[in-house]
Amino acid sequence: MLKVTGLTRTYRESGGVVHALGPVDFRVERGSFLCILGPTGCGKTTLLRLLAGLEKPDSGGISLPAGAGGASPVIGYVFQQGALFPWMSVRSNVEFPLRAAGMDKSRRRKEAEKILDMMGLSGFEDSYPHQLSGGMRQRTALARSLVVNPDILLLDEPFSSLDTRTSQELQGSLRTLWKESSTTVVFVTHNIEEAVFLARKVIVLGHRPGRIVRFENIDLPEPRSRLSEEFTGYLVSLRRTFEELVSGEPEPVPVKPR
Amino acid sequence: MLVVWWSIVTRNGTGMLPSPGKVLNILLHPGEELLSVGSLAWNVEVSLVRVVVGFMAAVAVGIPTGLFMGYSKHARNFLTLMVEMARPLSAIALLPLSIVIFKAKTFTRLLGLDYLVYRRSILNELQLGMIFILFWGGVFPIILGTMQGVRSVRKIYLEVADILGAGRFFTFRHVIIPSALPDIFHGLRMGIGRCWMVIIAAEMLPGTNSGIGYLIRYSYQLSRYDIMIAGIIVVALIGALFSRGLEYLGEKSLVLRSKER
Repeated sequence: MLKVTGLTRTYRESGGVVHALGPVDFRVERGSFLCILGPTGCGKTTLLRLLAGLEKPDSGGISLPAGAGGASPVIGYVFQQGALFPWMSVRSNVEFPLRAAGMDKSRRRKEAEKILDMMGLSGFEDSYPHQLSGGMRQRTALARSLVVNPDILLLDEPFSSLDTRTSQELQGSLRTLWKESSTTVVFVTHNIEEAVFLARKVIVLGHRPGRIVRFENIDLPEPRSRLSEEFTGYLVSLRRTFEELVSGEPEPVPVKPR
Repeated sequence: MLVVWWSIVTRNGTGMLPSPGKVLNILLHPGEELLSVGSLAWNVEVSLVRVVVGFMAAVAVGIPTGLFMGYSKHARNFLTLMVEMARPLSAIALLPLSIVIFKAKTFTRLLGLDYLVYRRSILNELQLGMIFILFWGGVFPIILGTMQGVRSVRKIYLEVADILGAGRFFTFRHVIIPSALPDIFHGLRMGIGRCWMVIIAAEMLPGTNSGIGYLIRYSYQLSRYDIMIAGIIVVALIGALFSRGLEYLGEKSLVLRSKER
């Protein structure tokens, strides 16, 4: 179970304190696929960074789904631009977390090969990130975060800089991988269609301070089709929420320091 | 163009300047004894070995210090002041002091190889004072380049390493250093350039009677401008070679740094 309670985060900026997020409360069961949907600047990346432990909340608590045997959970994180190490080959990038964990060379090579094969990257092991297309780079980033079998996978708009076709292709791959695993996925996006296609649950975040304005279960028959009527129904309904958000968009109000 | 103009100016052989042919003649016979201060090749060798030894010392101190200053805020706060105070002190200005402090102590004495003193050995020409000012000239660009490299590591790479479970040492070794390498090599290039400038100038001053700088000054005093110009050309060529060589190594390292063992 992924449980978030009363989570808030503020940033100090010139001219006061900006209330970026919260309070936010939600819970998602283990192995679910959650999309956090919201317009730019609504604090969705902040929420993800808090979940990953990259930032500390001002208040509130996060409890992540426990790892195997009650161990602390293994976290996977995919950044918007992939953030591959440019000085490492695809293979070295993917092996990085295994190497950091002290796995010996032959084993980590095998593990990396498995995941690279799964991601359709066989034959590109020795390429460097700058030699790859955007889609390939994100595949590599995905492979690097999946190679450790994460208990929870966090993705920050990983496909937003790709063209529609590549992006849909990768959405398909991600969904297939998720269905075969027990990983809990939290996927941040501003793309409604992407959220409806991927998620089992969608949270819509409103503008600053980022608050949950809608919680939606996506209940679609498998395999999901972007052309089905139910799909369009979710799309339109969520778009309506979105429109309301954007039209009634309040300016970010600086809050006085406490 | 320069050579053509030079040839025309010196065609009568009456002016102050020697003809290109005469200079070329010296450059083409580097093994010949000149003005009883050794051959061109010998003096070049002396300068080169001095620079290499001094530069190595600067690298050995500069890179660890730069890494440390880049990585630790406390080290940076503490050492930046010292570096900024020491850096403007030109190495040449320190030469007399350096000679006083280190006397004329050479590596021959340092290594206890006294039997070499009356022979022509490169160790006799490696005066500690000389090495010290080379170190001084080279170390600051290396420190600053390395520090700059470590500090400009993109934050996102550190976050990635953190999330992927890399410890501090692992991150330092596999993320911070490779990402700082281009800046480190830039610092090394600046450093060796400074060392080369310092040694040529220092050899023109008291404290030695060998090296390419000494040869240039001595041939000037004896009005042997052919030797002097040949020396200047050699200085320029070697300076350029150093710079290009490190640039090449830098590029090479960018490719090699990620190759797995």
